[in-house]
Amino acid sequence: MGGKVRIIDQTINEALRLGAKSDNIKLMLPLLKKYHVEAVDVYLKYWKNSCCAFEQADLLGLVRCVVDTSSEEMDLAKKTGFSKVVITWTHNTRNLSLVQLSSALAEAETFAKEVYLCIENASDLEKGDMKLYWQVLAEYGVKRLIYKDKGSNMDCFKAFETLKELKKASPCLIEFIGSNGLGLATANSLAAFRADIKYIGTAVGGVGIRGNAAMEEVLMALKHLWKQEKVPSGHSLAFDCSEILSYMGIKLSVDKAIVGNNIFAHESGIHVDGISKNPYLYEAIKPEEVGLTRQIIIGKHSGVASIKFKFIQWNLSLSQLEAKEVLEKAKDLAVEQKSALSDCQLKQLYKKQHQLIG
Amino acid sequence: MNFNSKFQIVDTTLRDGEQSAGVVFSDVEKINIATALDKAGVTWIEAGTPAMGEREQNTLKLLLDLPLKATLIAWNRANLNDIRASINCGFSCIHISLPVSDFHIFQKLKKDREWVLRRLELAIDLVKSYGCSIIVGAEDCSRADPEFFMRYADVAAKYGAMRIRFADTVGFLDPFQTLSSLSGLAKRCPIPIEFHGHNDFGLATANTIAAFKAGVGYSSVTLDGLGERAGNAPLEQVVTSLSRLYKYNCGVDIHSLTSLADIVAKASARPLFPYKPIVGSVNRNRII
Repeated sequence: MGGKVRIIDQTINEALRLGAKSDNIKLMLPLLKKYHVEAVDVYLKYWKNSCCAFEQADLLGLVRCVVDTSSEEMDLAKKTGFSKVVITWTHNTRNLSLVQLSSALAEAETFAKEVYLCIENASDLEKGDMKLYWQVLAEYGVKRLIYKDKGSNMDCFKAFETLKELKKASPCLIEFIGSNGLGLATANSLAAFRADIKYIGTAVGGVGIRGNAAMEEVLMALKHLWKQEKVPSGHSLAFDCSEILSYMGIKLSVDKAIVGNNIFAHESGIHVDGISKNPYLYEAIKPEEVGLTRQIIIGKHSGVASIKFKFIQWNLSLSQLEAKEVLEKAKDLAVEQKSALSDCQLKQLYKKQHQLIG
Repeated sequence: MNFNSKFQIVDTTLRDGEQSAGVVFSDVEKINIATALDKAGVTWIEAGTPAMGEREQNTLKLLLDLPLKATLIAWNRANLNDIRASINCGFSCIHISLPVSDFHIFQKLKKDREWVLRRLELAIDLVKSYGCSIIVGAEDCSRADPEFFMRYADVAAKYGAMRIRFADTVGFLDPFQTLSSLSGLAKRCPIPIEFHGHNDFGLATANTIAAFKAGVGYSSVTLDGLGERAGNAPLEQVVTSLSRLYKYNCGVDIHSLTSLADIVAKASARPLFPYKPIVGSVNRNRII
């Protein structure tokens, strides 16, 4: 298992669907490009409703216009000047005719430098059904076949076996785009990579109408779990993901895997005790690997070790008794206000305790 | 032994979920969550940690007084005072947790493997003397020597534990490893295994269903995936995945998932991410 993962971005498309401003979308692109983005998919139906114009050469070079097989969409894609076109198709077991598809591929071939075929419900197909498409793929010089799991029908084992077989049989390269209806898109994307499919559709934070594999999860799982060296550094990943989504008016959850603000925040006494001895006891990777920092939170579940740890950071060494007294007050306050204590609140508690003692 | 045909969900929202940094559930919220889980068909609820002190014990007594069909479990370190606190609280189902990876045993506890096994024996003996049922937890199991896990499981089984929790404590596994490791262990283990995943790489749900395929008997989940760091396997994703992909009904009402998620989102002050599978506003109920 090796090779470089190539991200096919689905974030910009979602930004267009949400009506993000053209200026914001242009700000998203340089951030995305840090992460091996090979192409940016933009559904024509969302692009045409937006005010976005992909004028600059570097943007146009990345964008793939996603169209259906209608002549209206093909005409508009041609008129707009998109040079990379993805034709979307839904396999219909009751009507296996490919006349409409062939016509669309033939038309795309006349104006597009690169033509891709996306079977949106590929994961609905039975074994062997895909053979139907081999001829059109070869005949129209389709650059890559995009296997999409629109219905979220797969676990990673089915994804791996299916894609492995498909890669052997297909006359062209394969891409994989998973949907995240069940929370399995990241795992399915890893399965695709394991099956030697390197082109993988992702979106920052997993955004998208049916959800996508989260770009940050796929990249960091490949890097840290599967030790893939050709994955870009994640040292500004949390910031970049947050920034990209902010341009779409979306805020990340604090516990979002890989990039959430709180994922290196520890409150439970047992965990903080462990972290103080060796952070790898309770952290799979260093926070710096994704551009975050560790936080020790004082709250309802804190222990004496947490209090001592916090005060050491302020150059104050508390005795066991002192720490215990502060802890009890801290826990009371956390329960009362239904949240963790701020550093200021914690220092206040200590000061009050000292005043009481005199 | 393959326990797949009786796979059950163990909800730990009130214990591991509340350990998410900064989260505090009020008594009323805990009662609402426990009641809602019970009504939705969840049969195991890990309710909390009595060793946390009197306030927690008072809350847990309120939960124990509820007319629930679900079994409430108290979580404990293998500390005899912790266990006594749970028994005095009124729990009859006690979870005892010890680390099984050398890394945790040596670095965190500064002990050795033999100490862990002796400690487990002592702890289980105490619980048994009160006639309580026992669940044993194996912390950091995904980084442990599988042969030591089996020795640990053998002790647990010999002393009467009804199941053993295999914890992927730092969310380190991928589903291929999970399937491969747990298939072997599930066949050899003398008691059912409960898989406990964490979501550090976004793989907790995938790992949990891999564990199901491997033949484990139980999995721990939380509502909304609330939990330490990036959280746990979300109950709503696991239940729906089992139903959709494997036609397996684990007894939890799928139509209650969004309301359960909403209750916990409110109680934890953690609004649901709009794109969260199953329960987020963009795709809510789409897949059910």
